[in-house]
Formats: sequence, structure tokens, C-alpha cells
Amino acid sequence: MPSSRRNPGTRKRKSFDDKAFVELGRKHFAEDFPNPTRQGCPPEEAIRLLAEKPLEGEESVLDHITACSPCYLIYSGFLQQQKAKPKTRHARR
Amino acid sequence: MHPRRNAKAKPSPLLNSVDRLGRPIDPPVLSIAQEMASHALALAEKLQIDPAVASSYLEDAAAAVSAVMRLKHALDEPPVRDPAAYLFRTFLRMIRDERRKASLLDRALTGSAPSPEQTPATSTGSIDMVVLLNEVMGTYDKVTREIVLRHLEGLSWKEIGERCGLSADAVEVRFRRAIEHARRALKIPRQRG
Repeated sequence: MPSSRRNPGTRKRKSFDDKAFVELGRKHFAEDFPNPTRQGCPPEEAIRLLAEKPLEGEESVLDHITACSPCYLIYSGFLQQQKAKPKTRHARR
Repeated sequence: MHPRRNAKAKPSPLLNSVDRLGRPIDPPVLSIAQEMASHALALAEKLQIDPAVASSYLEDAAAAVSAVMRLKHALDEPPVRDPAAYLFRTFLRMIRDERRKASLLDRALTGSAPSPEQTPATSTGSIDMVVLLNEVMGTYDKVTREIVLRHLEGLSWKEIGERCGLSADAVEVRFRRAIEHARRALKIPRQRG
């Protein structure tokens, strides 16, 4: 079976500086909303649900994580776990 | 309760109940603006906007939001869904415009490109991106916002699609359209290179 790896350059559009957008966007949400007293933060389970099953997660939680850096970092952690999971086709036997 | 108005790293400056042009700020909006002031001003400072200037922009934004809310009420239109987020976006747009004007003035005075000490984090283009991002996150549907956040975290279009019940192509198209639409709405120039 040939490798299913996609050439990362094939999908780039020149009209948008995607790399800068991603770097800046992530930094913005991760750092610019400190919320030190953690007011209005939802339970971690609600953030996990949103990360794992976005169609089932609550919109209010989504609203919150884009305005609270600590919660965004928790959400980010769950997403990174998803990314790290090996795909089933390449799973070790 | 909106978290954007909850962060209280520093004591908040006291805002006026009218903006620089004498437009009134309604008490509920003033209360929201007051609660988000310390955080909003800290962000503006990070973007090299003077806190005193940023404070008056926050009042301007609060007056503008008050006017919109009054108008909607008078016309029997649905109210603003999240006044705090709306106020925050309006404020961001204003400081973006302020930064842009300062950059143009700087260029006109020095007759050159932006100074080398201007870091990427404070350049006009970066502020544009922050404004654009908040516009997308404040106005688009839940799935599109999920796509944007997952993209920021480095997930592939395919990985995002699997979770959101869409094809990889549909995810990418949705993302590009949202960004492009917001970019046009905000009159943000295309990025070079």
C-alpha cells in the first residue's frame, strides 16, 4: 500500500498567511484572556466533551474558551491528545 | 456572565458615562465596559496603544454599542446576543484603526517602511489578524468556530472533519470562506508573501 501521506504544499492558498494566523491566533487565545479568578469557567468535563464531540458540546462552553486562556489551554490539551492518537490504519499490531 | 469582563489583573480605570463626543453610554453597557476595562487596556498596551487612548476608545465603543442596542430596541429587532463580546470586538476594531493610523503617520513622517523594532506581535498586520479572529469567533456558527480553533491547534482538515461530521474539503472551504468573508467585512488587506 503506498503511503497515504499528503503533500503539505498542495493545499496552500497564496492569499492568506496561514502560518502567521495560526501562530498568532493560538497565542492570542492562550495568553490574552488570563481570567485569574476563573470566573464563569465550565467544568473540565464540559470542555472535554466539546473537544471530543464538537457537535454535542455546548455553545456556551465554546464562547467561554475563546475568552478565557486557562480554559482554552485545557481545551488545547484535549485537542493535542486527539492529534497524538495513532490512526487505526497505522496502529501497531 | 462573560469572562472577557472578568479578568482583573489590575484595578480598572474609571470610565465616563459619555464618550469623547458626548454620546451617552447606557448603564448596562457601562457596567460591562467597566468590568472588562483592565483586561482590554492590558491587551491594548500589549499592542502598543497608550492606555489613556485605549480607555477613550473603550468609551467610544461602549457608546456605539449603546446606540446599536437602543436602535434595535426601538425597531423591535432581536437584541444583541452577547453585548460583552460585541463591545470587545468593537473596541478591538477601534484600536486596530488607531494602530493603522499611527503606522501610516509614522510612514508619512519618516518616508519609510515600518521601523525595524516593530515586532510581529505589534505590527498592524498582527492586530488585523487578532481583530479578524475575534470577528470570526464572535459572528460565525458553532461548527465554523470549532473548525477555526482546531485549525489553530494544528489538526489536519481530515482530523477536523472526522469530529465535525464533514469532509476534509468541506472543512477547508468553510474555514477559507469564513476568513475571507470576515476579511472583506473588516476591510483588511490581503497578507503578502
